[in-house]
Amino acid sequence: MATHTQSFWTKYIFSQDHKVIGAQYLIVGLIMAAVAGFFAYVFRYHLAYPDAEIPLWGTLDPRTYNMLVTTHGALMIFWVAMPILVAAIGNFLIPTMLGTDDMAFPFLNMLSFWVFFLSAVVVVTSLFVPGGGFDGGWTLYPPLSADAYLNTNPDFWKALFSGGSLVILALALEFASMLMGGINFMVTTINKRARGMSFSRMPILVWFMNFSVVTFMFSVGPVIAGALMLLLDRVAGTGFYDAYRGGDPILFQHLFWFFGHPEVYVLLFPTLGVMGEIIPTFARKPLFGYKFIIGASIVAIILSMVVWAHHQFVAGINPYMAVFFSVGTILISIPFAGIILSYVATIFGGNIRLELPMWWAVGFLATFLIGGLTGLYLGSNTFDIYAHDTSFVVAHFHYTLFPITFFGFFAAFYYWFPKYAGRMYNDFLGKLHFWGTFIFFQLFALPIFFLGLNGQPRRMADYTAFETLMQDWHIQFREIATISAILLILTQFIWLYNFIVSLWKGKRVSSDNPWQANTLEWQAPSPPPHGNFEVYPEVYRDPYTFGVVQVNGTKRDFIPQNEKLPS
Amino acid sequence: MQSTTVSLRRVPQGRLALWLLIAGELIIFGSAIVVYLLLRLRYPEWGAEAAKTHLSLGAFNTLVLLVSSYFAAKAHEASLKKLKGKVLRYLSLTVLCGLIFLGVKSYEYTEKISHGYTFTSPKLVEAGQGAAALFWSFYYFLTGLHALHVLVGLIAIGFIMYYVKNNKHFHRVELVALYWHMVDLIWIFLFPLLYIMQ
Amino acid sequence: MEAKNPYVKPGLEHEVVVPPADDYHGHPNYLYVIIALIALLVISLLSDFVTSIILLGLLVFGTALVKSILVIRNFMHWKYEPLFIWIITFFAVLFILLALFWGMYPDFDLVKVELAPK
Repeated sequence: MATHTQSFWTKYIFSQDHKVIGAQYLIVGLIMAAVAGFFAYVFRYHLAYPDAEIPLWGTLDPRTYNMLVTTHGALMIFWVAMPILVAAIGNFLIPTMLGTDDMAFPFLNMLSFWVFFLSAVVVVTSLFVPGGGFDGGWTLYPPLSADAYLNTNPDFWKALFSGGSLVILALALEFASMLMGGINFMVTTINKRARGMSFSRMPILVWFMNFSVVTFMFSVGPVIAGALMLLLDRVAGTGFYDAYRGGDPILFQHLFWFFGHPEVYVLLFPTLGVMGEIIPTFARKPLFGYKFIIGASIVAIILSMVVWAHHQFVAGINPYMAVFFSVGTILISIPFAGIILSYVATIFGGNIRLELPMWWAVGFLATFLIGGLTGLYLGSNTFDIYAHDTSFVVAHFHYTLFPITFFGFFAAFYYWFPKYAGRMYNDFLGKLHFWGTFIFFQLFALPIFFLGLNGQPRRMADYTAFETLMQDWHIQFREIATISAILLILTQFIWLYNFIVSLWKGKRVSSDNPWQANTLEWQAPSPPPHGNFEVYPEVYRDPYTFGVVQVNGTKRDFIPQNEKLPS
Repeated sequence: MQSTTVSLRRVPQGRLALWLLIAGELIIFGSAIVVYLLLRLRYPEWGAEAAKTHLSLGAFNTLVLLVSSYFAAKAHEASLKKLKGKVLRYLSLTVLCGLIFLGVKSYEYTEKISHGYTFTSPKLVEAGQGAAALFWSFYYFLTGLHALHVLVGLIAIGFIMYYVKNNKHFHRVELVALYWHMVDLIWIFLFPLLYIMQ
Repeated sequence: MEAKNPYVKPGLEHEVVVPPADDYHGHPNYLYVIIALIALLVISLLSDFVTSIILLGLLVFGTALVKSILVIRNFMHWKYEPLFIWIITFFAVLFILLALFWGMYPDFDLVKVELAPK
């Protein structure tokens, strides 16, 4: 495989190697995370100290505040969580876990990254065009997103190079890139599994990655059509969302949330997959309910397509439908509760090795639990009408998406770092990073729940005009949240330092399988070369053969998938 | 003719990817059509607007696409036996049909625009018939998106013809044929929705 | 014939990159199919003479449905594909579109329509 020499360009830039592409996705995602994190710092600071000058930024006017909040949301979902969780982890792991050399379509894979890169460039550009970045909320609701342009004869170029249009364009590019990547993942999974690896012997992460891209693929169609219509409303002057011309603004909300809700599961599935690999390995116990988890996920995917309107309970949708969507939303928590409980059951009674990835996994379970449970409250439309558009919602989705994105990513990072870097990270700094992230995140998001329940609306730059929101404890809670958010961001520098130093100076791993795991990627050299395996493995058993196993009279703790036992 | 289905593991990766792409495309078009249908049911006056579309030209275009699909299928059949000349002949016929389709389409567009039924139809809006203007927005949106896919399909067929001419990648004829059938499939639904339902 | 297949990588022969030699799954007689399709097209055009709205809808969408099934099954060789492909291209798409229609219908067609004043 690796016989031909590669120039710098074909090796690192226009690479078709899935690991390099994964790393490229990771780097772009992390850069975007830094941008979005910086924005979060700016507007959090403004919320806590409305009159103060913000260090590294200056003063903040409400319009810019809205722009920062919008961009923070859009970036974190589409340019941080999507590339890191789905594209980077999927690219790194799917081919190696399946015991093959690369993705099914390496060229398409490269193309998908560069389309994604283009979309990232476009979305950053949208911040600097005349008129400023888009400030109507990351959900792009018309008429806010289309209102200024709702006339039959807009200036095409001016409308195209406005913040909102560029964000829509960037989204379209990103969706196209993720569709290409998703098709690639699925074809790879179906077509390129190692000999002997039946579907029931696939690592749970590969299953979850495919659930993720399937959910994405089947839910993204409506929003692509809807976004095209929105773009046309802006640049061509059509009236798809113009109530005067017979269009309907609610239409966009439906099309958007038809995708927007499953999108949460698109992000959740990879993280569940990562946890499904880490927990059995460190609990030294087979994954509890492998088939149940797969079945529950399929049920969840199907249900996720019919719950979207719970984001619109106050938008004036038909109240009878609201009841249905409430019930559906509460129903969908059952499969996910089942999956989480399966993980807890895997830990239960296991021979736990409390290494760093396991800390992150347990931290994820604990934190995500709060996010999931508050989701139950919000899913019921009686409560949602009260809590809608308050900070309660903000706290809720930070409690779901933060653990999904960052706990999921860091767990995966520490778990697979020895494999893909060939070196070990610094364990002490890693623990420090974990505890910092864990504690500061709770301190950041928990107060927001209480503020929200007390009626603090979201998407508002300044609460000073509202006396009821300016009691002492409100102000203190906002300060706690802001200080914790800043400390949370600072904690990530520990990780960055650890990452960079370990990448070059870390202790070389002595074994290709430092965690004594069973899946195929641990049987490849560390780091895996171009082509991954010297001899392509053949699979003889399921990936979770942990615990004390008797093999020909000797006790074994684990048996890798590709080890052929003498019968 | 054997009618046994292949097992999933034996499906070549290109075809698998194309099926996934088709599923994605069908949902994009399908949701646009769903939106159109919902509004069509809401505004009975759209029937009068649909009557202004050119039924005979639309029917002719349907015929052209159906025949082009037939040629694409024949090209696929020929490609399995690596009959280079036959594949090229059928593919060029497909391209010809595609070009006729686009030509008729652009004639229709010019005619409609000259009558004031444009993408935004400002005349109708000023006359207070906003909903009627919306019909034309949908008309251009749906057919335009479809025409874009025809164009992409034509370019793809062009690439495949180049490969086949160099005796390469015969299996890709099947893929481009699959895509072309999908374009045909979408038109089968667009035609009655936009032209017939008056 | 398949002695040296440039698409197959050594060690990974189990992966199906190009259709294997025995992939030839038979072809329906395309001529019959296209004749049937054109006949259906002509039938759907008869709707110009139909006044009953129910009959019209049935005629137009019935023929469109039959046409699409003919194209998918015969031209796209759907009938030779495994169940998985049937699920992703048909049942899943149908489910999504029905869900979308059903979820949006009450908001669009069960409400009184008033165009907003300018």
